[in-house]
Amino acid sequence: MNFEIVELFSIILFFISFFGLITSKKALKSIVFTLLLQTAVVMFFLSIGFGENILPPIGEYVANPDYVHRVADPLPQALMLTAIIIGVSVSAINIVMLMTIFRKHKTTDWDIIKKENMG
Amino acid sequence: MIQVLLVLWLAMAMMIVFERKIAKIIIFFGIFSLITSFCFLLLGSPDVAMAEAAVSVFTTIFFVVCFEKYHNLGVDKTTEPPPKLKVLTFLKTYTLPLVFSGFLFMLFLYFIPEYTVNTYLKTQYIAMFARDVGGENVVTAIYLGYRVYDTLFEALILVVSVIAVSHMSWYEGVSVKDDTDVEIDGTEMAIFTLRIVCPLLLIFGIYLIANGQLTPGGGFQGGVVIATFFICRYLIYDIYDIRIGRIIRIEELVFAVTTLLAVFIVFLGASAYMPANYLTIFQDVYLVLMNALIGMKVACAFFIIFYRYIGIERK
Amino acid sequence: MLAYFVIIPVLIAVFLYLFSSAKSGRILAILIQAALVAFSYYLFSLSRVEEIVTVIGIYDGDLGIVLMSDNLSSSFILLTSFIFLITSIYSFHENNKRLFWFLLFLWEGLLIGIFLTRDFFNIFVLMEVLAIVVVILIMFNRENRNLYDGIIYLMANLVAIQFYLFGVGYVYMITGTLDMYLAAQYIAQFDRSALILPYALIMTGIAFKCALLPLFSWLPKAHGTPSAPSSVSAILSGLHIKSSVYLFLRIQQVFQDISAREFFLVIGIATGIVGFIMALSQKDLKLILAYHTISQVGLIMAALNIGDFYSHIGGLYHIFNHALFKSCLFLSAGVIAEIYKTREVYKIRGVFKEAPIIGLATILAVFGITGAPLFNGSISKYFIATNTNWLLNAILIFMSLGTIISFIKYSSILWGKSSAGETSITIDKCRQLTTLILGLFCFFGGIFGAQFIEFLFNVQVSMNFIGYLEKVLVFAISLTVGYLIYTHFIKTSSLLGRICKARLNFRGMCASMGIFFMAILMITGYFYS
Repeated sequence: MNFEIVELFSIILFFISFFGLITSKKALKSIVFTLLLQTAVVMFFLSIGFGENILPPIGEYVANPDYVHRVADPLPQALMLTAIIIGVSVSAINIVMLMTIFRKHKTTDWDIIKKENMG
Repeated sequence: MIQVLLVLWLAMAMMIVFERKIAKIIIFFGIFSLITSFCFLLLGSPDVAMAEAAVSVFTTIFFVVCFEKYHNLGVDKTTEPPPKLKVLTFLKTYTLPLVFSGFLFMLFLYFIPEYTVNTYLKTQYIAMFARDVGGENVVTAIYLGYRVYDTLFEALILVVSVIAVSHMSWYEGVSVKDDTDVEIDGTEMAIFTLRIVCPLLLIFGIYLIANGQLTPGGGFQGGVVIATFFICRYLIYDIYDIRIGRIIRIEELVFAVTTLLAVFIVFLGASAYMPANYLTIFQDVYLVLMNALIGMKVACAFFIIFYRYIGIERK
Repeated sequence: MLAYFVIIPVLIAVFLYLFSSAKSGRILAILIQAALVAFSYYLFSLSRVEEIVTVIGIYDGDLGIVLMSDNLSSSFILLTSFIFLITSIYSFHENNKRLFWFLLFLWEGLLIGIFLTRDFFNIFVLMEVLAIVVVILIMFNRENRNLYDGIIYLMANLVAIQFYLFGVGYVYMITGTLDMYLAAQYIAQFDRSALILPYALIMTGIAFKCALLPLFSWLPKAHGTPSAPSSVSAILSGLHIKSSVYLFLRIQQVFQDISAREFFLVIGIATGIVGFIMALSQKDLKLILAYHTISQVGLIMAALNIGDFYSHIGGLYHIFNHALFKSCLFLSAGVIAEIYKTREVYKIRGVFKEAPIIGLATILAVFGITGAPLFNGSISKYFIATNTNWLLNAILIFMSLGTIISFIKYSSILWGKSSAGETSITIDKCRQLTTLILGLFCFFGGIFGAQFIEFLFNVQVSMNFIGYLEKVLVFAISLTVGYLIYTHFIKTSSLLGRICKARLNFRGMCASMGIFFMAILMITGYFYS
């Protein structure tokens, strides 16, 4: 076992939202939990190479060799920009599908939606 | 500092998990996203913090509209569970999942590898980006230069999700309350504030896009901010006759132009043919142009999604 | 150069959507598909000789995104463009909506992207775009769609992909690269116990995409939903699921030292058996085929993880065969459902009288999937079982018996008196032609099996005539046994009716992801730490 504090917190959040996913009966809550899961992963990526007094990878000092070890890793940040946009667009589709389902079945309860779809 | 924020962050997540009322969950989720974005700032990534803050505005809007529409589209026929939790039912429904996810968590911690973070790629990027792509923002240099291939698909995902949202919101049943839209009744104060904030949003968005290669921000963040500008205008002036089909066409055209630009400049390596004294200007023009195109695309996409949400009763 | 194989279909999709009318757009689309087949054949012939590697942009290799085409990926690309050409000819008259052609081209480009890429994060992005494209296509017909299937598919995908992304984070943390090839080189220097967690996380995501045992609940919902055009179902079952199997192969190569072969062998066999039991209990034409996809993917996974050279080749060849006969079956099922206006197996009779060519294609494909002698399924099943011990051999025969029983049930629609109403629908020529072509490919893939394998995978294989004859005998015996079981037990059993209702809800799916993750983590941890 060997971890940084931010990493530990992101793992805790990952499993909190996993717990939420396996218990929530309401579909809207499930969508919120998928977003929480996403946030946990983003936080984990950004925690890679985290240290005290970290500097953002922006500006003229970046190329200065004295600062290189203090600059945050730019690659996970670029990746997570992509991941965040993907997460919000998928959630937007999920919510709109949920709204259409709600119009038809007048409920957001997973079990009832499933039962009405089977029968 | 960051430890305190992280504890708050987790506490917020716990409150979301154990809250039963949808309205409260939405509010908590907004606060949670705000704390998240502060954490990102402290982790040395202002770009992602800005994106998270801007995007969380939209997710909250989506959830609020969805919640609002619950009342517009019909009554929830499942009766709400009793608000007070009894200890026994709590244990019954939550014990097994709690034990299971706790066990998974411990297992996860046990297997976390012994490692030293490999910083080879980071040093490479920091050393090379000024020559290869230009600008002063390494993150922008990566997503518009080294990994522009990913960024194209990210832009594509917005095109596709706009289509998906307008495809999925179709419903064969009778339209409910055709004439009602979101009412902003009796909130002159809010309208007044919006009128003041609105131009500021536009200026801020354009600033973010234009300085994407120098400061935190860029096409995505600026685009989302500009989309909020359009939404504010929509709320102030109650515009109903927006031709959504035309905006979708513009969005796709912008996507095609973005792709072609990326292909000609990055894939074919146009900067290799540039004379050395024009190289910096060329690179800056490329970065600003790319950011502006992506910003336009994102603004269009988010506005269309918002518009479809608001008008889900319409055909 | 390789990036254009992805970018050009995407750009063509956008331009067709923006600037073409529906009619001319369709003809143009098919011409471009044909050109793509030619180009991918060109790529294939180049990649047979040596690997083609391109970095996007003019950057150093480890900074940019790297695309690579070797023999395996280029043969997959060839298959992709072929199946897309066939299905777009099939839906020439069916779909005149521009949106359909837009999504079809996007789908093709993105699938080719998956086969070409060597970058972990790029795979994540592509899989997400693919998920959205697929969800629009399976919800395409607005009138009879069932949005529950769509939302389950998309949300469960989102959860599974977060497991994958978490694993990628650990890979980046440890190795400092996102490139698969470089990561495999760095990983070789590490202690094996450092890789267990990322391996388990990544494999949970990929196994969900492959629909392995506890994680397959989304697949029949997505592949058999009534609102999807049958061409979409054909591509989904024939190709789309194979892209995940391809990723599985690639990632197993990266984590060579700790690849949990035995675990995936057992899971694959279990998936195969559960898949056909579920298929036996279905009444809906499309759902039977969808559950059979699960079963066949289980067989393929088992074959790829036996660890023997012949089984590996057999598994790969079975991927291609399955693409051919499953898409043939789905396409013909679409036509049959349109003629009879129902999809229930027991209500459809006499397809041979109503539509002889469709019936012929169906029977060819059924021979292929059951592994009848002289058909392509038999060749791949023969190679899978060449060097296996008796236990595995018996299990494979049992799985093949299950397939035979449920396809006896399926092919009962072909004979008997026609049960269609008086309304005579003229069957589209394009549809008859394409299903027949696919059916004939199933036949020729059997006759020229060894040659096809040499053409596709560039390896020499030889078949033992006596061994093959033994297979023929086993097939004949299991056909009789299967027929007897079908008439005496299956038709009268009430247990199957109850199995057919068993499906997981969203919570159950998330929990099963957790269970799978736990299992693979504990097993790899036990054996390799």
